Amino acid sequence: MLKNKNFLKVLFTILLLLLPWSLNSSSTSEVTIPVLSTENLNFYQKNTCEISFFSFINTNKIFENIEIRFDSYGEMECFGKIQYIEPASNKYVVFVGSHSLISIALQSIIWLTLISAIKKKGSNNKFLLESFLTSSLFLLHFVGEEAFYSQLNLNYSKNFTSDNYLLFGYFMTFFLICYFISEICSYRLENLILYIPFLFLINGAFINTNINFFVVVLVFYGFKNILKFEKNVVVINLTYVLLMLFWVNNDLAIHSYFDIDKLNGFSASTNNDASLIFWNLTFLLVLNGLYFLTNTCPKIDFKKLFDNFLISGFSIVFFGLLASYNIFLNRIIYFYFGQNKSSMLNLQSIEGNTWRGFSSSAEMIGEFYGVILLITFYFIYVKKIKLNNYQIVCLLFILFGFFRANNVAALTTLLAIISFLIINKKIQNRNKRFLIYSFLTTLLVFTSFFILRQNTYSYMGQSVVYEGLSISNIEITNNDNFQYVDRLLSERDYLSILDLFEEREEISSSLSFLTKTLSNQNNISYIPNPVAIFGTVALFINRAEKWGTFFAKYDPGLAEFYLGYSPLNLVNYNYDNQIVSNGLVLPHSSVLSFLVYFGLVGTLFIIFVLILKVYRNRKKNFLVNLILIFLSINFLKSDALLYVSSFVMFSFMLFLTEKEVVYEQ
Amino acid sequence: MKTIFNVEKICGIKIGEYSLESIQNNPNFIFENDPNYETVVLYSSEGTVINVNSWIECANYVEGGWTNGLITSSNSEMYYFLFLTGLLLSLLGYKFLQKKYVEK
Repeated sequence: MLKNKNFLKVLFTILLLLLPWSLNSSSTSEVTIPVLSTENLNFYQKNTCEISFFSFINTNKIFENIEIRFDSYGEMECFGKIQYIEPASNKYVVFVGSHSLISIALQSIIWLTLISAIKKKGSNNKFLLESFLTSSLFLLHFVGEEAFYSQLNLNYSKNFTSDNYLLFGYFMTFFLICYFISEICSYRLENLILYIPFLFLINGAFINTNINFFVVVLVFYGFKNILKFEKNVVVINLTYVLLMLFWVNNDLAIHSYFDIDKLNGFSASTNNDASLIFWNLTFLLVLNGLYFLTNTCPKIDFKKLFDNFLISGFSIVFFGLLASYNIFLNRIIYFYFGQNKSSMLNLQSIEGNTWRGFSSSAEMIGEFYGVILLITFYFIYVKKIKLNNYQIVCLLFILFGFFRANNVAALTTLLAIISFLIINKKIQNRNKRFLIYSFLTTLLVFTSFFILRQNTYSYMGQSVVYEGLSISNIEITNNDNFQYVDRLLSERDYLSILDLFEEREEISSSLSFLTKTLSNQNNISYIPNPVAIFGTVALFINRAEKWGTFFAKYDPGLAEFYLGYSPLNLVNYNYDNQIVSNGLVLPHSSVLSFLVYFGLVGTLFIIFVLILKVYRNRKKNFLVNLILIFLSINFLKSDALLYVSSFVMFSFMLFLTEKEVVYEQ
Repeated sequence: MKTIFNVEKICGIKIGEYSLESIQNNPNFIFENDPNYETVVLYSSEGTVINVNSWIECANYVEGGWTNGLITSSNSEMYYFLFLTGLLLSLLGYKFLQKKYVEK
């Protein structure tokens, strides 16, 4: 019976994977489809939405000059068919119809089918109110992000008129997704949280939307958590809602469209009221949902979690290699794994980085592999758990992935933590341990000195300010002092630059503050300037340019500096101060990202809570604390917390500090 | 891409180099008839009818929201919505009956 059920599931999945892309229109079923060329381009342009993606791939076996994109701007009938072909300079861009409602349904069905393979444990199954609230929230999102969705949906309208079936269909789709989440996930609630590592493999981004499937799941359970009305939860949520009132009512310039690019599914594309309410609530509900799922699992089986980390890490490398094999697999993997960016189509150089597509950044995947290696070391060295053959094979793939991620920070942190574990285990005498740590610290200081000695302290200390001013829009080209600013900059005369632009708005408030602090004439001798220390550290970890760019853009008023612009909202940060370079410029530090989200007060509070949790539970869940420390150090110079998978993993680990963890079942 | 997609569906494939922008910026621009171009009839949303005699003239009007009346929005989204509603009601009904009769 069970075997038959599983067989049916596999059959159903294969059908869903292939069928939508292989249905030709009835009118072309007897027509021979020609190979795409300049002469035959006309055929494809005349027969829009007639030829299936499969037929096209089958006919055109060489894809060197073909780029394939999923295009949701079309009718539903176009789904899985060639919608249009546009000739470019040396290639053809093929647009494959992918209406967003069908894409959302199809992707959800596949992912829910995969979840249904998890062993059942749990039974809570109320869903009506949670489903209504979740789908209403996502309806608000659809209506709120008008500029984003009107480009992607032919019949988009935010008006609640009786013939707006796209809007109603959208609501109904999410209601049904919630129904199936409840039906499938609720019976597996006690096990569900152990499968979190798979978020790195299946990213869950719905194609051509700004929604992530796993965010929908967490929002659904977030409502469940809130509706339990537990005292502590109510107090925390109400405090957050008070902050929300400030964020939503804050009188800032509204920008209708922000290109979220790889932040897809976890960042606002506009900062109007509806969008801010949606993203602020989503952030709160995701945390509530995660808390609910973590607490539903009575004991965290770390061995199972470790297994899932290994399988997920291995699969990322495996499917990454597969995606580079040909364009068809590449596109199918992009669609069904819910990637934010496509995998690469080449095995050489940077393109050979198999994580590309599965991870939005090298730092993030390096940290993920680093966590796996840390757990592996802990299991082998501290817990004396032996790995079996399949785990060793997985580990070899993960080592390859870690090597290709080229994340030096993750490697250094990992080595430091491993050294700490070895020293603590091998050397029981406290004085001896102290001596060894002192020796290692001195060695580190001296090594740093030799690495940095080609620069003076003065030069290094100015690095962030210098880079920030260099990229600020402060060129003067229409007066006699042409290139005057360039000269001041090369002479490092920052105060004169500030004087020159005092009445203007080209220099951001944060950069102006840093520049003034650095150039402060009242500096006390022998006490290092904080901005100079910050600049030196930034240069040492190769972040001077990135953070300089961040401060050139980050232009908050006093209230936003203290309380932030609101979570998952980088819109004002991106637009409030224009700099020389265009495009998405991320802060390159999760701490700085959180400074934009929550301001100084919020960020300090979060850091305080993190330290408190780690300190309080330092003996209870040692491995979890090590992972948190490893991630926190890396987050100082990586944007990982801006992405769903990393954010969920980190928050899960944070909730785990107070849970009972078992290593052997 | 989207605009070209609609324009080429209505006006045919673009042959030659045209700049729509320069036409749209010039209120006194006069379109020349293209003898090789088969006249296309376009309709505005208010029901006004116009005959266009060149590809660029056609493209200019389509850009302004005119259509040939042949591209009609299909009802697929309506059917999809009705299908989802039916499915949801069936599932809820099934669940209700299951709770009422089977679990008892």
